[in-house]
Amino acid sequence: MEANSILDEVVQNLEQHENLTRMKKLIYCACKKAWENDTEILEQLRLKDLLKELIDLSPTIEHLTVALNSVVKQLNKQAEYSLVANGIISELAKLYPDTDESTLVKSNRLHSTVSTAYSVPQQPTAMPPELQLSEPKRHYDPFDLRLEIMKYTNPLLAKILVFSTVDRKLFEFGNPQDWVAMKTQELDDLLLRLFRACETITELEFQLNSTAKCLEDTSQFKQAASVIIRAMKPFYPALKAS
Amino acid sequence: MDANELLSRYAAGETNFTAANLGRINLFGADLIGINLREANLQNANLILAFLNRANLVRANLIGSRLSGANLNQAALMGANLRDADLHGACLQRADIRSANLTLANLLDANLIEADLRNANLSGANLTGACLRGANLREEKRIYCAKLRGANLHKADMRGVNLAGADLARVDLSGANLSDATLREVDLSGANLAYANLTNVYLTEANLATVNLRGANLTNAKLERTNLAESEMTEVNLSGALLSDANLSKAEMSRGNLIGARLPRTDLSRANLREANLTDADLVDSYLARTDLTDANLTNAIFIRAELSSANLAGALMRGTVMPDGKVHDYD
Repeated sequence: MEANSILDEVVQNLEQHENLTRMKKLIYCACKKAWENDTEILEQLRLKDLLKELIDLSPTIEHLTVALNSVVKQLNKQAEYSLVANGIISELAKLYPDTDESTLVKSNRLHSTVSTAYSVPQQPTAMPPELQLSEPKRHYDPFDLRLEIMKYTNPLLAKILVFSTVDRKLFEFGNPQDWVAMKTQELDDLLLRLFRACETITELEFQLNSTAKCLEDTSQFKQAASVIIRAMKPFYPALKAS
Repeated sequence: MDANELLSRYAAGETNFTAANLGRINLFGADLIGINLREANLQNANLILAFLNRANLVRANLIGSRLSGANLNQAALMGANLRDADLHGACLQRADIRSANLTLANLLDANLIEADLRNANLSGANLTGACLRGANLREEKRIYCAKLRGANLHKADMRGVNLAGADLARVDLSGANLSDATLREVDLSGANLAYANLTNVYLTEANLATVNLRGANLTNAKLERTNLAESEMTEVNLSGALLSDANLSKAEMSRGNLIGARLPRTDLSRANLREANLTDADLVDSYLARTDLTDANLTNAIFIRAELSSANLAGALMRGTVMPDGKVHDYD
């Protein structure tokens, strides 16, 4: 079956979902970096467009899982929303070849602190030892990292991108207050916050790329994102879900 | 000339705008690669995120201009006036900034890799987080050297930079990385070097009087004949450092790591070395009048011909320590 018709089938299945509005809220927040509560706006959004955007930003099912779970983690109703997230993930898995149910569960457990795919525990469950990351994140030399980033991208754009990612508030070029706020930040502090906030390289990739997509002059920010990802990749362990 | 006129003439292929009057012009994000703005008036201009790569800005008036995130890679800025300019996060890689005036400029997180800053005036400038790797600040004649008096270089990357003879009085270099830098004969009096990385640095004959070196890493640094009188060096790391003939009188060095440090002929009078680790340190001919060595670790330290009679050695660990008269303490 070709990708488009699978997507149509996925859309059809998800539109039947009792929590369609929550679904839209979740995907909207993952892609647009903003929480939308206005039911009118949400009703006007087409689920298919939102899903397309999410898929565009997610080269693998892992990216998608990380993206939705990172939104869930910020919410009050985590249990409810993780069910919604899992509903989306298991449907969208059909669009990713080589994803069977067991990798899905593993991928979800690896990235989620709130829930596994098919249960809703009230307490976070401990990760089974075989699913834990094989090694912790490495320490890095902040001077080497900053140098690597400065050599290949614009320091100001890098700061705006990371700031918008870690503070979950998109930088507005026309807002003088945002410029003032940027001057109080230091690039290496921002990079450290980003490194601490993103548990895996997959999460880092999704967060930076999705922020870049939401900022004015996307192509320059995408370039900055790719440089930061390349520079930080060596500090993340390879993901080994045995 | 307004922005529209400039941009359309540039788009039509014109690049020479020598001495143009462009005060307060708004060229936000404009692509002006290779433009000639020699001696132009760009006072208070908005050049945020503009592409000025390889631009000619020799002797341009850029006072108070906004150059945040501007790309000035390989630009010619000789003698330009950038006083009070905002260069936050700007790219100045391999730019020629010789003799430019950058007093009070904001260069936070700017890229100054391999920039030529000889004779530039950076007094009072903010260079926090700036990267100056391979930048040229070398003194050629006594008057032809970078001026950094009162500049803020907090966490700046200055690895391997040659600052010989530079005026760095009262500079904030806290948390900066100066490893392998040459700081021969610099004036760092009153400077803040707390937690700076100064590994392998050359500070020979530098003036470091009253400097703050708390927690600084000076492993294997060359500090011969330096003046470190009354310096704050609590928890400093001087392991393997060379300090012959240095003046360390009244220096605050408690809990310092001086393992294997070479201190022949140093003046350590009234210095505080409580709980410091001086294992294997060489203190031949040193002067320790009223030096506080309470609870210090003096294992295998050598004090031959040192003046130690008024030092406080209460609780000091003396195993294999060689005393002024050549007597060696036992290891039990």
